Amino acid sequence: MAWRNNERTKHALGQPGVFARLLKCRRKTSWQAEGIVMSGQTAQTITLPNPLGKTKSGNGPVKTDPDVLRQAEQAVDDLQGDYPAWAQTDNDGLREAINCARSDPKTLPQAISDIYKCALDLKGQGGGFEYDLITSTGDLLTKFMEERETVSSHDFEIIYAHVDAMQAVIRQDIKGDGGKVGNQIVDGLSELVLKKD
Amino acid sequence: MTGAPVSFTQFAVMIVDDNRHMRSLLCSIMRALGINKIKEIGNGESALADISAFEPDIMIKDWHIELMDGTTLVKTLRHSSVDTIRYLPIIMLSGHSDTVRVREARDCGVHDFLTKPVSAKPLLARLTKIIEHPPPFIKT
Repeated sequence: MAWRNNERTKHALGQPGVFARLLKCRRKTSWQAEGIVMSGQTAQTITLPNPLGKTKSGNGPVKTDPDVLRQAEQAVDDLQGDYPAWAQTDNDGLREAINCARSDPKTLPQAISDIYKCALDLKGQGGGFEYDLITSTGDLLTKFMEERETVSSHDFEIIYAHVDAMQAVIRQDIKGDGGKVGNQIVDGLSELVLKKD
Repeated sequence: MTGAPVSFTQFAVMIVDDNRHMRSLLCSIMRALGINKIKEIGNGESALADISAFEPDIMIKDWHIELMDGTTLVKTLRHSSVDTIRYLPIIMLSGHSDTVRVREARDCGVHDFLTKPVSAKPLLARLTKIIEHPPPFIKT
């Protein structure tokens, strides 16, 4: 392991807006480690041997066999048939958390956390299996639940509306954005979520 | 195919996610890439307990995991006295892509960040990027 000072990093420390600029670029590329330095801090760059080099044979840029990517994409496709059952489990978990919160207010903090987590799981998986409406609806529900400490009766109705929408997508096996009806559902839920607080 | 071919057969990957469906998805992608040594873990404490014995080459972890949520596990690993653990390449997955979270992940020493839903192509791209250009660490 080699420890060395990095002049470029030191120089970057004094530049105003560096941090913001790096953040702005995050969608184009993954961050460079240099980006983690905040203005005014001193830093050392630690350059390590590359233990993952064992996976690479030869010199030059890494090239993956296109068949490997095809196989990986096929593996995801092969799981598509399983996804509705997975989504159903998560949606059932969501419904259970809501019922808990309604029946026993003492469980509300945990239930809010569970509802948020289930919604996040649904959001994080649906689109990967072409169930984009699940991801859109899960996204709206996470936004609605984020930093929420209390849930009123009206809020419960809004949460249920999300659960019912996802249930319909699962039951009717609606893939993609769901067309006109799908857009109407998302627009309607968005309106409810935006009205929160 | 020009360039240096990469083979993942010797790769050891630790997947940390408390959603078993997500673990299944990630494991399937990893196996399809040719990775045979895969450990799936459902929470942060188990990951910490098993990491020395398993000796992963890379960790793929979800932001929201039970027992050591968010960046807690990463911060703990980055303070390990064992170099292979302290500098373990980590790809953070999250359902969120907001600036605050990406910044927090980056600042705590995550190598890369991938927003869910996860698909094979960006995951493979991140793995090959870490192999080709392992980022240096900044110690502040």
